[in-house]
Amino acid sequence: MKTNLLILTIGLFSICAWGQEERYTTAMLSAIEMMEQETEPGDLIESANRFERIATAEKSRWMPYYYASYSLIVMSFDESDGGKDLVLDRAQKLLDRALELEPEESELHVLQAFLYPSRIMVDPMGRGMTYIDKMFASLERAKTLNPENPRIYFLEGVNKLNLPPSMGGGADVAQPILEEALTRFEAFANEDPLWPHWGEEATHAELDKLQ
Amino acid sequence: MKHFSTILLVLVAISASAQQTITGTITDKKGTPVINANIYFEGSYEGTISDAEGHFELTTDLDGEQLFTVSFIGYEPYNRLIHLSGKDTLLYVVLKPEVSELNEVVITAGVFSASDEKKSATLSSYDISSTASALGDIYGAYATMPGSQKVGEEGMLFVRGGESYETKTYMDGMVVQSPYFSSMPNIPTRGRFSPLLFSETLFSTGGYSAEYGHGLSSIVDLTSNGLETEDKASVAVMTVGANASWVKRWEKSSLAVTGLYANSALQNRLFKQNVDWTKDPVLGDGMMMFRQQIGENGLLKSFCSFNSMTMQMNYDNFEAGTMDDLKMANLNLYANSSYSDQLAEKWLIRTGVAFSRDSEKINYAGVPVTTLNNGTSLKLTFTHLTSKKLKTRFGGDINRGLYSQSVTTDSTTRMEMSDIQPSLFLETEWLISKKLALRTGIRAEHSSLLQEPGFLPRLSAAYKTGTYSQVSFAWGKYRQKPENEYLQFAPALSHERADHYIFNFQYRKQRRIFRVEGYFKQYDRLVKYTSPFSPLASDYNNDGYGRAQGFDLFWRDSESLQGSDYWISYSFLNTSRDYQDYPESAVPSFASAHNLSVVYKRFFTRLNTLFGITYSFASGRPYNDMNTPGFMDGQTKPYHDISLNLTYLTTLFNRDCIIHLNITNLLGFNNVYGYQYATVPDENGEYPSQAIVPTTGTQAILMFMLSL
Repeated sequence: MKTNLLILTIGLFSICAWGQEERYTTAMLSAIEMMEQETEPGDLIESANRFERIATAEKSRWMPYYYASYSLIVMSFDESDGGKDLVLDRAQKLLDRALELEPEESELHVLQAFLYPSRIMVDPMGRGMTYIDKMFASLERAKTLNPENPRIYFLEGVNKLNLPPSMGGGADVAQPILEEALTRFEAFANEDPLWPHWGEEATHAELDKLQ
Repeated sequence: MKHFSTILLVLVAISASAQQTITGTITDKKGTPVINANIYFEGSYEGTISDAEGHFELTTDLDGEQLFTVSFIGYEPYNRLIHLSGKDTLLYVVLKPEVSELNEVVITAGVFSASDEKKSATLSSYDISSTASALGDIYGAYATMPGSQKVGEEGMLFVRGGESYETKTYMDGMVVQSPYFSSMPNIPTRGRFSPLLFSETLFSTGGYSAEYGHGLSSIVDLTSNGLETEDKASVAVMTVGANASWVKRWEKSSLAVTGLYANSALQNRLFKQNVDWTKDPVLGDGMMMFRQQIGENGLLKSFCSFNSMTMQMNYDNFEAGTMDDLKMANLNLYANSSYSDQLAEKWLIRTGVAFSRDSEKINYAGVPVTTLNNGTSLKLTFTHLTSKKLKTRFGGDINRGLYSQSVTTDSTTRMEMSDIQPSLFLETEWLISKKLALRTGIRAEHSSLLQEPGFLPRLSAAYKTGTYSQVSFAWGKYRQKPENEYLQFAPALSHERADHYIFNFQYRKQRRIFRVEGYFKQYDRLVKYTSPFSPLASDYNNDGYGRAQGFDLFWRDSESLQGSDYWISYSFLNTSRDYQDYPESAVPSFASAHNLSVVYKRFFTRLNTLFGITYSFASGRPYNDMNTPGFMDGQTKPYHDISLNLTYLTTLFNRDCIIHLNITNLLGFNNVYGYQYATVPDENGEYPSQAIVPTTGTQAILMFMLSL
């Protein structure tokens, strides 16, 4: 009887744990799907809100914070200058929390590098120099943590493309980096269904433009 | 199999708890709907967002105590515990803008302000009610702010070497004639208004704007709450009385009614009193507050309060060796209505009318003294938002005061006077560059009684020294009509005057503030008299003068310690004055050179308890030792106080319930505020004296509140 009870208890516990994990994954997958289907950047607030809610319930996981921050960064591209900074302040806060949980995660440093260009758009003359340096520093950090992360090369390529040749940019510099990004995307594999996977399509698009 | 179905039943029963729907509206302070705000219960994935009108509907299966959260970019998150019991709830949520970095320079010299995010936010109504030593009193809480002196026997604010009458209280733009309850000698009083009535309170210790007159040293400006956010009702029982309140919110209006009965009888039995009460203090208080939104931006506020206070004691007349009967009855009615609106895109208007009537009957040893104070105020101000960088405000007010005092001995003597004080002001705020701001103002005043027009210029400037820091400077001329107790005998007196010079440095990053402020204040034309209460006009003159200088330090950190908030304020004061019947210039008896307050609060989430503790220190105060040849050369021992409060949040009969305990002077320090001396020496040629001490030592108040 005792053994039976023990088995039952352990069983119930694992069901609970499994139920919790399943609940989290389902919620995240549905939120990611919703985010990817959003066509208007302004509507991404709804996705950001959903990720934030999951984040408050799952305080030890970095991904809800990551996706909430990512949604806001994409949303910020479409905001007016004043609004952009407000949205980015929020995105940065969420990213900081993720970084506290997982300071060595390459993807988080990539996201940091993804945030800076939007800051620059508010005041290109005043902010350009500082944020460009910060962005490349974040990419470097991401590279030391995981050189196989394709999103590093994607962001590096795109940003080099937008820089004048005098500052080490231009199409000639950018093209081989974007091609490397593509190779890395093809080779990149992560078993986690929730793992970030943005950037591949955009790399194709950038390379097409160069041809 | 049977067992299995039992387990299933239990599981189903657990998961099928009652569903509950929360509906409501989310707006900002101006009433504009907040769209796409994130609405959820913390810890659950489910939530919703607000629609284009700010409306939302959230259905949940959760039960018990849950943390309801509303958040939106650029606003402070809104949190409150909701007890989910299957009852649908309607909520009006007002989001406050997030206090971010000091992006613009702002005029801060001399000003402590709450929730006015353009200035330096320091005390909200929550801050005030959770400060242990304040006992829920606005002035008590501001006594923990730099610039104020501890004068325990009065309970009023004394600012930077100024008398208590030099601090004026404004409510919704209009000066309040009797902001404190009447009291008796050496019995500390407190403010008439509960801090919970106000959404913003501003405490300026000098250099304030041209909009404010009447006060020589300091301003407390109270802005009453806007539309109430939800229906609520509560009852409370305390060891000092009982309280009931009821609030109703409609679509565009709200009404709040509160009644309070306080009686110190039990308290005075429980804690040994240094006063021989023959009738314990009793207070009856009724308050009504109505708000109506008019159009898109217009808001009408009406406030009315009535209170009655009585007390009686045996006053220790140590000089005559008798215990004299002393009693007091105070009746006060105060009504204040104001209206604010946006007239056009760049024009804002604010107007108001206030009425007060205060009657105070004091009877000392069979001699009744009745004092009546009636006041009416009218005010109108316009603000023109010329551009993002330039703002102009102008307007005026008229204050009419009627004062009378009658004293009955063998016959009745009655003094009466009235005064009409019109004033106009003009002020511009100009952001010269991203780093430099300038505010210039002028105030013109007249008094029908004193027949003395005055022009009072004010100037302040601020310069941003870094992302989080700035320096500012303020200068201004101030004047105040002499107190009625002198004017009634000598109506030819002229205004008392003061010039303020203030330098301020402030560093503020997120929720950490550091301020240091140096000041110099020059007094002139202070009232002097040859003997107190002399009825001869010739015994009074304006030959007094004085000065006050010093510096204040303030540090507040609501961020570094998890769940904690604390502030430390220190003030150094160097002052002297020749006024009243002083034979020479001296440090006045209310002035202590060093004042220190440490206020700490922490919310223990798991215990649902808010804990607060304050430590106050003041160095010794001067008193005039009649047995030494010098004037004001005695000094009391320093003052210490440690106060504590505990607030426990729980539920009872499915309703929110609060148990609150407040202990003042926890360690039972024997404080002495000063000494009174007999007017004539005894047979040994010595003047007998008596210490002025607090009415009680350690004291505890317990409150139990239940929301209905």
